[in-house]
Amino acid sequence: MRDVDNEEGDIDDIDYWTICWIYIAYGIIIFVGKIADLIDKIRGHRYFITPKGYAPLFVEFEYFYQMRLYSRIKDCWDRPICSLPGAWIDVMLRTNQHYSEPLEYVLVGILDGLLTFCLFRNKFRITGETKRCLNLGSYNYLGFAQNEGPIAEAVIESMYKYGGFTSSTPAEDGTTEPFRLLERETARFVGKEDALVFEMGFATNSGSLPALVGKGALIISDSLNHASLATGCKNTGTKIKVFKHNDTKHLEQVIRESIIQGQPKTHRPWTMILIIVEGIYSMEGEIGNLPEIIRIKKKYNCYLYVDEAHSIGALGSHGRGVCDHYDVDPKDVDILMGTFTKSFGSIGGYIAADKSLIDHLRQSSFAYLYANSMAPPCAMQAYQALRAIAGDDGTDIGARKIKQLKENSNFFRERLRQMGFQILGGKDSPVVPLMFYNPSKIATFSRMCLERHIAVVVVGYPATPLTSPRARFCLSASHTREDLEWALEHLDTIGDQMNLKFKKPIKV
Amino acid sequence: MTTLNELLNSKNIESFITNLSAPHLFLHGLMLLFIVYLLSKRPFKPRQNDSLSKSEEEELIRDWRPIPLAPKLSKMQILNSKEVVITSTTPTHVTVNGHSNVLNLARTNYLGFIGHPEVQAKAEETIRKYGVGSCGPRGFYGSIDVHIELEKRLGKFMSTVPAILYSSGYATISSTIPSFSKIGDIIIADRCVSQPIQVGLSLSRSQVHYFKHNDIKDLTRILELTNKTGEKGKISRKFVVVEGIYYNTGELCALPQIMALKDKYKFRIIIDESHSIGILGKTGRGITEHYNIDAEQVEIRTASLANAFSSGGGFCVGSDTVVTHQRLNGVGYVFSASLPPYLATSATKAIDLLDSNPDLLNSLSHNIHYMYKELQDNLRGLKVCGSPLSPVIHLRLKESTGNREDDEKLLEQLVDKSLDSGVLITRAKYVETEKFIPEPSIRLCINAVLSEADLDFAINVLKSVSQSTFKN
Repeated sequence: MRDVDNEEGDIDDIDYWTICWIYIAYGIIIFVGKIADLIDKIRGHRYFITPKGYAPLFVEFEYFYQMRLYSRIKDCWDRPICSLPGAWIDVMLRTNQHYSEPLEYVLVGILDGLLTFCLFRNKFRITGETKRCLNLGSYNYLGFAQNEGPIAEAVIESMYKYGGFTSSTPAEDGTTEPFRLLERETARFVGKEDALVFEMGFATNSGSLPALVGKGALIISDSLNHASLATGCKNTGTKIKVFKHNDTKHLEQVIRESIIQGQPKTHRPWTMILIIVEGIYSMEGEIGNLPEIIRIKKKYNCYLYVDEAHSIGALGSHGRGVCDHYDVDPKDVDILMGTFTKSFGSIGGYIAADKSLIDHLRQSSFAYLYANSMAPPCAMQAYQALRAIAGDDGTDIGARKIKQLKENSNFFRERLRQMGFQILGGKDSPVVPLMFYNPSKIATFSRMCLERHIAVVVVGYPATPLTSPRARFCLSASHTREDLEWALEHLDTIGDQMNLKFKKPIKV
Repeated sequence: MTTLNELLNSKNIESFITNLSAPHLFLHGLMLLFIVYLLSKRPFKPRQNDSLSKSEEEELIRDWRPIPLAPKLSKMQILNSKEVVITSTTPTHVTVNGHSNVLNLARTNYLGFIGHPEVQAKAEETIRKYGVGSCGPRGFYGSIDVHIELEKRLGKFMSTVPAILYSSGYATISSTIPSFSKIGDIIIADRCVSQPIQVGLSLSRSQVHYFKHNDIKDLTRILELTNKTGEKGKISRKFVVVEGIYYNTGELCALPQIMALKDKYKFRIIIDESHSIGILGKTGRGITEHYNIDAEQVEIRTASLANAFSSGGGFCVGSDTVVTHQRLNGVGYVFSASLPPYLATSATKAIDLLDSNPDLLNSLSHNIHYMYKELQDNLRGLKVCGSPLSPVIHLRLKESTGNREDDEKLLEQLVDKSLDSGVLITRAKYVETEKFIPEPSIRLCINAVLSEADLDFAINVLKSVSQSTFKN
């Protein structure tokens, strides 16, 4: 991968001092948490009461993590908004006085910990005030989250014509006209024979994978695949092997070994091998090394499943995803999966493949037979956005948006890199992660950004490994250059104040 | 080695040795030494080379051929693949495959909120403010005020703390179960639970036992069984998973009897009320209200909003701990985009409408009873299954042909004919690999807004269609 996209930042490329601090920080957090636990025990305060004779509802570590780690900084997530998730959003402010102290100062941290259990408050109160923030968090890549214009009108019309929801499954009587149109258009757009559409992106993966692989099959999955893929794999009940994230050499090695060794114990040959990778990894911003994976897949007769949740619409000169980006034939990928949540401003997901496979999935995918079909207005939104991206609506709106997104992403990433931040992700990817390493910086960064009217997403364990918490910016075509320059100025200041610039700044 | 010991220990050998002369003894001694020498040697092993040579590896790889990704469709699947496409809708009727204004008894729109003018007006208002999608999971700016409102409204409706809202009914129960029940825990589930629940059971990786449908004796037997197993001193988490109204059978869950066992066997109850919320009970609070059971006794209640409230999404209610825990551990909640705002407001509106007009429930139960009574004895070749309280009615064959495929074909003929006569119904379709596939059936879904004329029309169509299909 590195040689395809040598601009990418390396996650492990930091000095030992920073690594030491990660562990010191965790040490402090856990130490304070344990003291709080102890004092709680002495006080006889309990978070939940287990009836006599019953086992506790969940394991101790989950409780500890939730109460002592997550609770302290939970104001950084679930921030409610009360507007369209466009370029600017109205974030609703909440109060929770005892969790708002910055954690990176040891003394304050301990004091905060002591206050935490003395004045036990776990609930937020919405104050009613809102703050207009630049939205660098939503997956509105192409800016199709709109509440006016021809697409919104078509959506509303479809709502009146076909109903707001179907209350039936696609396999029974939940297929509506927009649903069918969307299926056909999606297949054409991604370059496959046929496609099927689901109500929910998560269920697309978790409900369809079990129908694809049966007994005796092997799944080889990237180590950083999304939870929906992991859930789907778990649900298949077949053997799963994992290869190092985006490491095609390791992938090849795993495949070779698997074919040679056959199934465990019986040593029978595998019935099939399915490689599962993503187009853009949502937490890394990296683009999967598709050409090399396709070469391997062809060489070893494996099947390939590519999850394009973040890349469809956002990558490639025509917005047709990762195949378009690398200019490879979509026919070389057996199954293309994607969602309508991100670039299309709707909800739901699709699977596109050869007709015979889709016909099979229509009869065996759990999500197709047992989940409700996609609501007609959502299908209409996705369909109209798709037509715009493909240029079928007779305008150049889609093409302009794709170009704008690419410019925004590359501008933003390059500028951050020049400032000296540790940035991950490849060129053209609209996902730009900024590394903190130190867990105590998660909350501070998020709060400081919010103060300066920037809404950012920060992630830590369990979404990322313990040692690599990060902020993740999602760029959108609806951001203007002024928006981004304004945000970059603030991020520059925050970066200096928080000592986040792990690299030497590059003067331009 | 053991055989040698036996030989040496046996009395025969002893007497044999004592009676021997010196040269014999010497010879035998030599033989014995030789045997010991042979035994002490490493057993014979053919020479083998564990690692394959490069060319052998290449050959293995070259020879390996996978099976095709898409297996051939079975006859059953081909039968199932016929689909209808809806081109317009009203609360009761649809236009489908060119048949205009067909009475729809196939969707779970129990209270008729699809196409309800007030719900639609609310949906339009929301789309004009928030657009369609929320563009993110709840954690990452996908929490819109209307979601929080709906969670509070659901909490109020169910008399609990605010609910947790999932973005699909299918993902709700299949995420809730594994977020609590893990490896080493015990789940006892009804054999007829619907498929999303079964997905949840399999994802939990717990030890799953099934009891016979609604059979309390069998449940008690399994509870006894699981009480005995398990390590001493350590109590394992134990859950009983049931549905309020079983979608697969149309039966009500025997909740009071299950509750009676609770104290003795110390289990928690997870109940999926997808088809009983907004249907059972005087005010539509579900199965607990129907049986007059204190809802707090049931630890975890989930439901899809797609059925009675005709909107997307699903929710889970319980204690504060139950809800908070899922906000970090429910995979379908954490890793999925949130519900489109307009569906959230539609659901809120639907709940408001139900609360302000409880008469809907009377007309629903009237319609169900009427349909149930009229169909019971008047259908040729078909029997009406399920409870007369359930809006889901399964019509099954009185006499099976002995072959599932032929049964389904017969039912499909019925479905086709009734569509031609103006009533849209559907066979219950299942994935062939499912664990316990229910018997073939036609599933009717009754709703509250059907008029007397609609009901009579549907009954007459079903009667005549069954008469023409089952001639004898």
